[in-house]
Amino acid sequence: MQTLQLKQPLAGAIFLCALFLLILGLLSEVSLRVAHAAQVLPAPNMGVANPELGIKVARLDALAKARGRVDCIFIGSSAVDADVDPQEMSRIYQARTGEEIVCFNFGIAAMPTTAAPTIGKLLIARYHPKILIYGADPSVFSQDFPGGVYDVPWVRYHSGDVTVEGWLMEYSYLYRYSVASSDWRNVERIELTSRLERNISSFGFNAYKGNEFEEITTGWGMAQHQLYPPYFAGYRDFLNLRSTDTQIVVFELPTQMNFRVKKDPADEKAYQEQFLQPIIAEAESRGALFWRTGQIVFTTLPASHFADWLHLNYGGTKVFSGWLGEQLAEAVQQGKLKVR
Amino acid sequence: MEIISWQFALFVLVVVGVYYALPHRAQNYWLLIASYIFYLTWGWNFALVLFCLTAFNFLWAKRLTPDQSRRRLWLWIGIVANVTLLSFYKLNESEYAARLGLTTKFLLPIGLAFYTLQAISYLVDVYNKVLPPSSNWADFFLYLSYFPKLLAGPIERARNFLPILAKPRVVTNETLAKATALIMIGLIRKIVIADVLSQIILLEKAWVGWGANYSTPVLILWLLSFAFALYNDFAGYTGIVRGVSLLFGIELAANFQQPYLSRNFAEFWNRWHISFSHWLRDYIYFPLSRWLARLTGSQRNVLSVIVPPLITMAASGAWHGFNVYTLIWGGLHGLYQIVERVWSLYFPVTPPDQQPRWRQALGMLTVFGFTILAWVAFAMGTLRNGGSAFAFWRAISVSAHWTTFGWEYLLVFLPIAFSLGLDAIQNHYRDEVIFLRWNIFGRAILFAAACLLLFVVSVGGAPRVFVYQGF
Repeated sequence: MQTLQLKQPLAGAIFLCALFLLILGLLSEVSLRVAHAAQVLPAPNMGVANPELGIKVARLDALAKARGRVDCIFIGSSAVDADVDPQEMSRIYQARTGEEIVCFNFGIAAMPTTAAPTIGKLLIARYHPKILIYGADPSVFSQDFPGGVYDVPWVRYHSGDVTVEGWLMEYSYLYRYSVASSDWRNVERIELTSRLERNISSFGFNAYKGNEFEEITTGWGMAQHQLYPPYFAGYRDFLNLRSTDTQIVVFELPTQMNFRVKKDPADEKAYQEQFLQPIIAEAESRGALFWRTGQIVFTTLPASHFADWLHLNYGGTKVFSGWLGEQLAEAVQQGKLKVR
Repeated sequence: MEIISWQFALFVLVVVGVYYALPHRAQNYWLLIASYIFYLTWGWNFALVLFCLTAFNFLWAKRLTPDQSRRRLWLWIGIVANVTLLSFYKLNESEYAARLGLTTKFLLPIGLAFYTLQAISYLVDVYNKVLPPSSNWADFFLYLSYFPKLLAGPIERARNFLPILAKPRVVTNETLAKATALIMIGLIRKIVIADVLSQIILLEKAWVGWGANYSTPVLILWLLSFAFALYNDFAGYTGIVRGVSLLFGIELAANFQQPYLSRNFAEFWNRWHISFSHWLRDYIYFPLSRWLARLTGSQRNVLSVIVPPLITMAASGAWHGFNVYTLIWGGLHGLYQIVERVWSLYFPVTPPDQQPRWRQALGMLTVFGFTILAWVAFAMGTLRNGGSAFAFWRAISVSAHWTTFGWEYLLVFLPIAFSLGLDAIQNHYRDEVIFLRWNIFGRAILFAAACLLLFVVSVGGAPRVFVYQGF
């Protein structure tokens, strides 16, 4: 006796299921696109563990759509995230040059230098900025830097590595939001995502609050200034993104002066020789501009302007962003940079 | 090879495809080969343990036929041998063995706790002349190794399973529809309810300093999450493997019947992990009750009322793990049953179905409340992350505090409501696959919606390992 004894209408049932699945899938896709465009849904994380990337992409998409262009994009780790307010920078720039500039802060917490080249390529491919500005501090070049993983299919897709996952993430909102749904299933993730959604401005600035420290004299990344070779290689690859369409600028991120003056003078020497000089030399050898923060740390950024040893608080960011606006205006006026 | 994986899906497809093409006797051999291949993917040593245990019980049962002398002695030796093997592995991985430095490198073979019980039930049934010792080695080996039930049950009885193997099986449209429905409901329970519930309030983090870091409502919500996650995890597993088994035309026993809708504890244990609780009832509770009744001359004697439920539930606790907390969990359930039994001795008991609605609801709430209190000990005993059940009970009672509570914690009620809704429908119609009664359009829409839901939830994260695979 045969085990399998099937009769019609099995094929009809399977066909109906497939048909309804297609209809439901399309309906979901359309609904999600409409909801995303209306910004009634939180930004999806784009497959990266850190939800900040997805929020920044959503903000940048909206800014590019509203202004029709993005002139410059800041990139880097949490220090860039917290230290640069593009609105304040643009205000100072406009006051100096009379021209409007549209900039965005794409700094993301724990983004390692190794992710900067792929993220940079993604930003160039999607938004065509004239200038990419990278913020460097010793911590991101330290072997101890707890870098997050940004090597995901969607990011790689924009570097030419086409996979089904990368393609789906770019073109299917159903897939994108399905991946992101993991962010909304855990109270701690929900809390983090909501906080970031509230905190990040439409220009990508993520303000740090408070002032945790006056006397802290140690911190990871500050104990050593040696450049960890894989991280330095990532920095070099980022500098290589320079082209006729894209200019690269690197700036030294301010670190709290307690580190710079209270510590052993030998440490300051190591900071200059082992960290600063090599990254300046590398930037200049590849045709990138380098802005040294130098004395402003001592003169205009007192301890009260820092949230912790590395991140500025809102008061510090206002001062520092204004300084960045001045640097940009000066570089444009001197013909070293072109905004358009 | 995990049950929820593309590898397993492909494996089942290949096994089913070949199975349909084979004649009946060859099908059993084929299933046996497939089952051992499946088990080998978990470890060759596991397969070796299973093979040895099966061979031992197959041969040993022949000593238990009525014509053999000293049958009782042989039965006890057989039982002790099986229990010793299980105890060795269970003790080996207990924290006490670790503390005493007695652990060995032998890992507990996955599913051992389940197939050992099946082997014991076979020996006892042969001894009791419920069935003759199997003369077909292949069928008997398949009984213990059949891959859909190998990892975590259901705990089948040889008297039910061997006759199924002896007969040719038929798979019709209806069988396939039921198999698909069971698999889909199982996947929904596991991936959409259990796994999501397990993530909302992360269990691992709740253990550390809960009294200080988590407010009482958060701990209670975590406890509710744990209760529904555990239920849907195991019920989901059972649904999937029963569905897979139906593809071969082999119907496995149901393991769950909406347990949280139980109105008393006796009913709870007839609805929760049914194949295991019935095993405990038939092979520990009833024999012990009969023995004590003979010894004391009455079933209402204190010993007859107290000892059988306590011993039975302690055995259940020990089966789940050799540690204080699983024993406390078992002890608590034993205590609940004693209270219920004593109550029934002095007050007339109306069957739950004949009680007014309010009493049924009160019964459900009472049973659920005491059950989740016991789950605290079960959780500490099985998750092994250093938590203290007593600290937890204290944190939700005498040292309750109501700070640090955000709206996001209320998310746990979404999957819980889904679980209860599914249970309510299945319970109302007394049919676990009630959806198959819908017309073809309704079924197609529901199936498509379920597929879409599974896609959305599973793309966001890999499924967690089934909790009961750890036993």
